[in-house]
Amino acid sequence: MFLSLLSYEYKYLLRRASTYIYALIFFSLGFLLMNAFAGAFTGIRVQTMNSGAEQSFTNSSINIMMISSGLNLLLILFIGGYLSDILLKDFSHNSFQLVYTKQISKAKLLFTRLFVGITTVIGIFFFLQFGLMLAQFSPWLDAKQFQSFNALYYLNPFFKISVTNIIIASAFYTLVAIISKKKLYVNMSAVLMYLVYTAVMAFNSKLELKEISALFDMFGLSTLGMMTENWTIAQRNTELLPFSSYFMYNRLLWLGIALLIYLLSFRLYQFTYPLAKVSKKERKSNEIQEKPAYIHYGIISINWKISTYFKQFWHYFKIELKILTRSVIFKVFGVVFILFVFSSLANYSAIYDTTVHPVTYIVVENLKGIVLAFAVLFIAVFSSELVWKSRSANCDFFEDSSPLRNSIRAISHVATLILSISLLWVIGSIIGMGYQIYYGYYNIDLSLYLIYGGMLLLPVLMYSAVSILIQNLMPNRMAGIIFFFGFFTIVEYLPYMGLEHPLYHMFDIPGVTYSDMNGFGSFLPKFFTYTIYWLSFSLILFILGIRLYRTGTDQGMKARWKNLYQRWTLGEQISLALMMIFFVTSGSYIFYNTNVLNTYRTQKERRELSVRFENDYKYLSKLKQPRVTTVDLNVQIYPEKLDLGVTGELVLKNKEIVEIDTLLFFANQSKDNFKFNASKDYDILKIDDDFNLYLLKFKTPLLPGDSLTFTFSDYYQHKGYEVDTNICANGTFVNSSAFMPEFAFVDYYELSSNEIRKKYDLPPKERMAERDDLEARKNHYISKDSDWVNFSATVGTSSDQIAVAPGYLVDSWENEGRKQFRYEMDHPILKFFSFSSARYEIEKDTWVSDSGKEVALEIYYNKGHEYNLGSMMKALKMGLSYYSANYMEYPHRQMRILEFPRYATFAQSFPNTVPYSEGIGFIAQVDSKEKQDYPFFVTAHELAHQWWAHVVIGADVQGAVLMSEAIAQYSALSIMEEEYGEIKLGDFLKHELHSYVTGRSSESSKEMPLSKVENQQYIHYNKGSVVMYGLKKYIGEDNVNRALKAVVDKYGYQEAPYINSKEFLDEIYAQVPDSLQYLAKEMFEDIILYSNQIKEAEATKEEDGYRVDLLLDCYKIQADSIGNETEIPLDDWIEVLVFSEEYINGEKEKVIANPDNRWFKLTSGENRISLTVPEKPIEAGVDPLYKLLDKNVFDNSKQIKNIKEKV
Amino acid sequence: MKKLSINGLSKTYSNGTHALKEVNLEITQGMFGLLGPNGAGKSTLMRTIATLQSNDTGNIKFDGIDIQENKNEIKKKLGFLPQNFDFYPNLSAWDTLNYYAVLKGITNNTERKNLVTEWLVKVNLFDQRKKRVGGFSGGMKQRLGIAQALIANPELVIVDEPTAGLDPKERNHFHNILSEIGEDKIVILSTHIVDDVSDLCRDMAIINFGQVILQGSPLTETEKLKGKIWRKLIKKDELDWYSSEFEVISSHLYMGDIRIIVHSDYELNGFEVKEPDLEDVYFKTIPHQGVKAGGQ
Repeated sequence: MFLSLLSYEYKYLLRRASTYIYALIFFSLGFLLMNAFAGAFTGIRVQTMNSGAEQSFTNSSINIMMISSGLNLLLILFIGGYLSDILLKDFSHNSFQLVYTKQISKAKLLFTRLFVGITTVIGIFFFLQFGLMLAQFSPWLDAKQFQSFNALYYLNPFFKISVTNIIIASAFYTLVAIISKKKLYVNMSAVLMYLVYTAVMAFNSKLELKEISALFDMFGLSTLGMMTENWTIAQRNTELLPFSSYFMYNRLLWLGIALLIYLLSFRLYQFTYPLAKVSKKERKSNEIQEKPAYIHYGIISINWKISTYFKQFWHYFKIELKILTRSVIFKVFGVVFILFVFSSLANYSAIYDTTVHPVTYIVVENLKGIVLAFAVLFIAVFSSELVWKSRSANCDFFEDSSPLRNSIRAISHVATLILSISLLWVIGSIIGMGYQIYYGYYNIDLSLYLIYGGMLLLPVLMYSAVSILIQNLMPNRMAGIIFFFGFFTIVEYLPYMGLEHPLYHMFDIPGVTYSDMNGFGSFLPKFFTYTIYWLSFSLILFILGIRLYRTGTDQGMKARWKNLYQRWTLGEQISLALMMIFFVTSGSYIFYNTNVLNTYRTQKERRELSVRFENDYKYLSKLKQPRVTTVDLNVQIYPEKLDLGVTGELVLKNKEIVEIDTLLFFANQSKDNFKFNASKDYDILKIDDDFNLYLLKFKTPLLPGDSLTFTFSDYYQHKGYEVDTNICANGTFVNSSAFMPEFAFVDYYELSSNEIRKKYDLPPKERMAERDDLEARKNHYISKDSDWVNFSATVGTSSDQIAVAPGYLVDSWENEGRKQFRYEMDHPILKFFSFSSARYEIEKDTWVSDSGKEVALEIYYNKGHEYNLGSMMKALKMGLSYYSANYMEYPHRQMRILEFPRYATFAQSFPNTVPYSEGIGFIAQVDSKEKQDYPFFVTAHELAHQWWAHVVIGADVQGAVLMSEAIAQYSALSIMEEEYGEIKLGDFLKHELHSYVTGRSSESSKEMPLSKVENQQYIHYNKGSVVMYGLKKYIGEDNVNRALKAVVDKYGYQEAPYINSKEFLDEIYAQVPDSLQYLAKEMFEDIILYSNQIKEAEATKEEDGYRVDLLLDCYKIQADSIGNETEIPLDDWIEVLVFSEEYINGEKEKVIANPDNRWFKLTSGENRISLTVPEKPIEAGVDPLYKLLDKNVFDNSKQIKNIKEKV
Repeated sequence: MKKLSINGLSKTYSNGTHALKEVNLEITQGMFGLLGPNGAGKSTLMRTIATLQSNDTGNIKFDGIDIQENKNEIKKKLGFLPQNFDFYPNLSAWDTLNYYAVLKGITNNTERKNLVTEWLVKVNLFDQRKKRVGGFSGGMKQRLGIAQALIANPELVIVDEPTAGLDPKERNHFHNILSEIGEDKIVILSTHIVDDVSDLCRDMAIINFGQVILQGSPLTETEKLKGKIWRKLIKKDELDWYSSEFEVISSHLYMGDIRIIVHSDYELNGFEVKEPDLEDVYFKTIPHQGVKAGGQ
């Protein structure tokens, strides 16, 4: 009986075409995705987020895991659609009475169906893995990118993630199916689940929430991220997801919940007729008896005029809105939306988990993100609801047999969707404004709410229009919804399939960044051009959607296909023609801008150009060149027309011991306006416009020690709809590399990926030269054609702005309605300059050095951004004092910070000048205890560069940035600690360490030790912070500073060969006691990681305080450059801290309870430690403030909840 | 004089069902009954006339206008009540009827309000006009369906199985409404209930397996059988014998025995002559139906 039932149900599913279609879809998805990643379409394999490195294989275990589990999202939708069918087939086919009266036990029937449904879904989804597997053997793919086939890579994630998720999701759908007995509700709950889940995933980035979300993530995707985020490249290739830790708890939790839901479902499964629900209101409604009043007319006048159609539309639209707003799913959607707005507003723009002030554009941008994400889901779901509404209510014949045009329905659908999303926007705006007011921000800019709302509606209109077509093409609503998501997913991958030109990037509209300084800047022309382009395209699709609108019972495409060319109304013809005109015109304008005003090259063309560069010109790399010694520039900024004009006079000197007869230089882009001249006679040997390469031959050679003057001029005209984020109407920041010729062979045209180089038969290329490479050490890493140069510049701008360049202002005047500023530097600096111009406010202060030198401190900021000026100024003063005392007296008489728009979020140090982005601290909200004062930190870091880069500059070899970035981090951390204390710094270092361990996972080539860092941010910033701070704690601040001072004394303002990290570390090691030499070497020269974990923490009250017993689990690991790890014996002094609470200034604060008894010698494996503290302990941890490089930042501390009484 | 002419209409579904085969019909003003068993092709024919479906060959002309070529023109003159239908459950009866009135082009607000009231009264739903249609009984929904079909004073009315699911009182009421709507319209009434046709129609057709088997006036067709219909009460186990010996057109259970109706041009011994009715015409036209099952 059971078996026959089983086979009956299987047969039912296996007879359905959709079963095979879905299997085919999943198979093709897997096959195509793997092929796309392997470069089947472009020839170059795609470096995914999860497998960036060249050493990683395309079929790495993590790649397979991420693809197959990532598609679990699609699975959520698919199961909802598919499972509802078998669970509710009796109801939808109205045969339930037949089945329910048969003698089958209730449990057996449900169990069979569930079993069959779930196993079939699992079977169908397995085709994805199958596609992934098979792709590896595609003969057209480069086999070298694959490691040998291992079935476990496919099976492990499939069973651990996909299968468990299928079981979990099915549980919910079963419950919904059994309660509602309606397919529609199951489908809708699937969509809702998808919606909520993706939204939760999208809006949760805080470090402090990571653990919680890893545990409670229903489908385990963030758990997966958490489990694998610090896997190294080697692990990513072969490691299988273990069933342990967060993942195990997560799966057990959700499988448990699923089991409970299944049991509940069994209980609720009644063999009863689904009763039509009558709402309470109706049951007891007392109709007021009203006498009907009407006159019988024999003839009804119906005039088919334009206004009749408008009235029809208006009424149809009203009814549609009524039906929509009264549906349950609409209400649920609204509630979920509101919850999301609230939760995401609390997390916006967080850096170091610290948010910014709720200025309008930040709130509005956030809101736009949420509403757009919701809008896409909303459109997907409700377009199906609207298109299918008469069919699902079984009243389609009434509408279809009425003289109602399809265009009226389709336009009404779109209008309804737009109106609903506008409503979401209005609700969101109200919450947003409430939020601003709640946080005491009253400068609400209502116009931004309106403008962003308007900009939001454009894509909404686009998506709605397309979705109407999709819903009318697809055989049912769920297929329509899945296709809609599938379509917009595939569109993202088009560039990887060889469709690179922006004209092909479907519905991709360039972003717009609003800045307080520069408003909408120059973003809008491009934005609107693309908007018109894609909007008209989607409206063309929409018109097709009207033509193909499903009416009557002829639902087959064949019957409707005829409508495509039959009997177009005049209105449709005109609309189509109009949209075609818009589409072609805007498309042409895009083409004109992309291909005519600019040179358009495909990636392949660019690669081939790079190959030609190397083949043709590599021989020039050894060319002896004169070096720049003096720079005098005239930089004219035109904020109104976004142009830039430059002239320059450079002195070049032959510093070699041989004659030089050729001059090589690279100019910048604009070949039309670039002019140059030299004070020595020359012939032009070569000009190559593809690389802006110029090669001159002097008529008489330049003798050693001789100089020549080189002049150039250039004019950069703003072209077409170009978006310029350097030259701005207000807030220009441009650095000299944008227009200065470079008198050295530069390698930035060369291909850097060794994998691609191999394809073109180029020898492998190292990212940076070896540390002892003397040829390379002739240059520092900032410029290749100069050492220290004399610098002066005249900067011009419009009359209402201030223009700033490095150096001191010596003169300013006004000429032809423009302001001119003359800056001169009083001693040689690096050849790297910034030019800024804006309508600044200026905050001024002074700092006086011990020797009595007065230093003018100036912050040039945008009006309204006063929030953190105090913090920045304080950092400047504390930094100047600390750095001057410990390294060398500040070399300038002035220090300036200049705000620039938030198009980039960094600050950059130039001599006595620091351009500083609006988005990296000016509006940070650092007013409470939990926040990190990153404006303070960034200021201190950039200030430190005045010594560590602008006095001591590393040679252009491995490890160069150790002497600048890592030491700048150290310097900033030192005054951070001074200001905020050790414990708060621990929180900061937790972020740094986390960035390091996750950063090394996405390394694209190989991880270097700190001493050989090759411009890898996660190493020189994040690892640098932890290492330098740890070193300071292990050997003492004075020792570190003594070493640094020695470096400044010895290498400050030096000439070539420039300092390398060996020389630098010699000074450091000289200050390290013998007992810790090993540690210092490990920190700088190896990749050593710790795994320090606290397992148990117990406290007992004793007479003289509290005894704390800790069980620690510690390991030490050595890793190679791709993360192959070996455990090495641990026998190190590691900090173990117990925390208690104390009232400081009336506020409860966490303090260290064992400040003088904190170092313990720990060995590999379990360590038991007991210590006594005087105050009541609340928390304990091993290396809880992160002085060592710990693999997992989340398990170092444990709270102590109970204090045991001594027995 | 309006006229609907169906010429050589054929339709085959994608699953191979030959739903209509060379159907030719001339329908003039007044009530036209379309009789046939379930699955005979009635609904396909109705939906095709109502522009909801396309045919493979042949054409339908209303007043000389080809329906397939001028769907929108026909829809302006059409009132259609399908066989299975429902309404938006969350709308009230008033909203529903008002909505369909607008769709049919009655956009003058006062006129429409008047008309909706009139029809709600006519179908006896005025007191329930503010209630959700979702809570309506089958009969109430059917009445609302009738109202939406007739509200815009259509010239061509198609009602597909309108009385299925109605109780006798409602059915009577419905017949009254139909007979009221005037003689100047073409009303096509598809049904498998013979009495509906004999009560209402002056003209009719019987359709089976997608083909028109008979077209004529119910009265004439019944008249033709006068004196040729015989009946007899027999035992159950005699049915096979009788079926093989006589042209048994139908049989009914009658107090435990079986009463058979036999068609014969000659007098039959042991049978009594029966006054022919339309049902006899129907069963004679559609042979061997229900003989064994014992009734309709």
